[in-house]
Amino acid sequence: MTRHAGVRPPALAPAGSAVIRTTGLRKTFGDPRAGRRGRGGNGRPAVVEAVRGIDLTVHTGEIFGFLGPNGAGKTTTVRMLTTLLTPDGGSAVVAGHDLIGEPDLIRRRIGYVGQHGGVNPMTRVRANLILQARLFGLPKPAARVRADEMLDRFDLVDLADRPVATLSGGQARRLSLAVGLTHAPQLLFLDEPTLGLDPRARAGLWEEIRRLRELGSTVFLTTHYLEEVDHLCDRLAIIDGGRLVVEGTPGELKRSLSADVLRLQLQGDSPELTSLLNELPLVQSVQADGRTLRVYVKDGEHALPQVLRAAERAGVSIEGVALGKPSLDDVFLRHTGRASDDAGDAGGGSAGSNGPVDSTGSVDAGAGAGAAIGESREAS
Amino acid sequence: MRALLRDTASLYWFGMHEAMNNRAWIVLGLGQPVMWLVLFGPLLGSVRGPGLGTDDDQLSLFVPGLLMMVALFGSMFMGLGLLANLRCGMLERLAATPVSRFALLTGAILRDVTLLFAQAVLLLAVGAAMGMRADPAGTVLTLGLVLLVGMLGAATSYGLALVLREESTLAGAVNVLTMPLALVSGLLLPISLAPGWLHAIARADPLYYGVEGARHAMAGNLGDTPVPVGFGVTGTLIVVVALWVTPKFRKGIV
Repeated sequence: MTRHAGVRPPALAPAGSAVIRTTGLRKTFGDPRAGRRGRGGNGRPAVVEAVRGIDLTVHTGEIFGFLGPNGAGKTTTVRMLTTLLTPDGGSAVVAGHDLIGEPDLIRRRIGYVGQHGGVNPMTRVRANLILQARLFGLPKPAARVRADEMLDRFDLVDLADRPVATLSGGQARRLSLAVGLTHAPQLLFLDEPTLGLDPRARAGLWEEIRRLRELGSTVFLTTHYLEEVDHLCDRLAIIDGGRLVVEGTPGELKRSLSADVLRLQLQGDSPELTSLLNELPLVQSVQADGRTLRVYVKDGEHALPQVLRAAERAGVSIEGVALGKPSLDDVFLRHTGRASDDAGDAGGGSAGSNGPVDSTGSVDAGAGAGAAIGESREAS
Repeated sequence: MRALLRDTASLYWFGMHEAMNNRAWIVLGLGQPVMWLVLFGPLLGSVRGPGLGTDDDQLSLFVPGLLMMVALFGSMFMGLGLLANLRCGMLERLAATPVSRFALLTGAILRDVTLLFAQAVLLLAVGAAMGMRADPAGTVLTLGLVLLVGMLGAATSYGLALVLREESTLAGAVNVLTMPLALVSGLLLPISLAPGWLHAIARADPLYYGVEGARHAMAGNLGDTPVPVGFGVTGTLIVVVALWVTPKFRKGIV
């Protein structure tokens, strides 16, 4: 067995070829505590269809963003693609190998950095890098050299002999990334890589992820932050309710909504205004989000006076108006019906990663978080 | 097979690294057994009863029991370490590498046995310093039996950890399980002092056979039936528990 082969620069694949291709991938969790009556102990449904058949293509060399509300099936999908969970249906080819039949060959070619970092706080920095290199078949001396290289590259040299528990959040995240890259995987999965990081640490991590793309690796990342997708990702997909709702480049998806968007800050709900606006020729669609009304229009400058007149006719007072281009936030709202939890980050309970039971739980949590965000926006 | 051995070795060294960074274990793991020996051992000096012998060899009766206690209580809580690695996502990370799944179990158990070996040797050394008279060959045999019991306890603990998946639940279950096992096995005082009904219960306690085997071996009576019986019972249970735990490591670690 020559696992050695796993440790080498990423193989150069023809540009644009697919490094991940899934067809009808699905995963259903049964609640083990569910009785015959079909409901679980906590009133949960006995069976949760976490992922209901997704077709996804990720091209070699791109940074691919995977988005969705809490409990939408993001983490379950990543855990299937990284061989941690066995799919219940469908098929996938990851890094050139069949997901069902050759998980071990896939494991040699991918890197995975989970939400929790995956590094034991009781251990020291360098030991984790050496272990990872050893597990990918490097002999001890070579593993030490590789560990030193990674320490250097991720600016961890001074921390090499420190216990992991004493690292700052940003340092710990750099270590996790270094561990996940020790074997130079051609495809790297990052699950919420910047969750909880301060803006500076986040920017540093983005820089590192971009550098991976320059080196020819493919990066698949899940995130809550739309800003992150805008800055970083070549393409993205949004998953909601276990189904892929949209896939494309950030630019394509924004343009597909409309040329411009008017954000109206209302004093109260007004279904009447919504229907009035929908009759205007320049208006393509209207989306209510709390007391903010997003009006997608073909030509913002000409639409604005018409929209204001409509508000006057409906007797609605407007607290503020902003004219802009559609953002990923608009894309997210359009396709999931929910505002992203980007700003408020009420997604503290975004875990959903500790196996089937938690994933079930996060379905409820997702709905709850969505509601909470709506409220906080109204209040502000 | 080569991959299994190499991964076991890598994970073993990492596990030792983890243990050496745990100051609390070094203090408690090495200090507590010695405290039992030094602060409780002398109380036995004036206890008289069937199977207790005279003053002189009481330490050689007490030390094998103490060794078994360390083996049981130390190893049965090893699952907590596994759950810590589950919690911090380390097991998940390892599961996404080509590491041999079985090596995750063998590397951990090898580490646990090493730690137990260190505790046992220290305990024997302190016992010798206190004047314990023990048969050399019997001591080696006792050490072997102690390590087997530790292996059994650790494997059981890992199995329970993967079933229960929660630190406090595991700690509770281990306490409920080990307390009666320890009391009925005659760890601190030989079960030969017990009334008939207690003696009868002891025969259902696997640890009883380990303790009895260790006592007889330590005394130099290597040919006594309890010695092979102790090895036989413990060895059989290791096989049974391994058959129960291994598939859990193959499938259920994340």
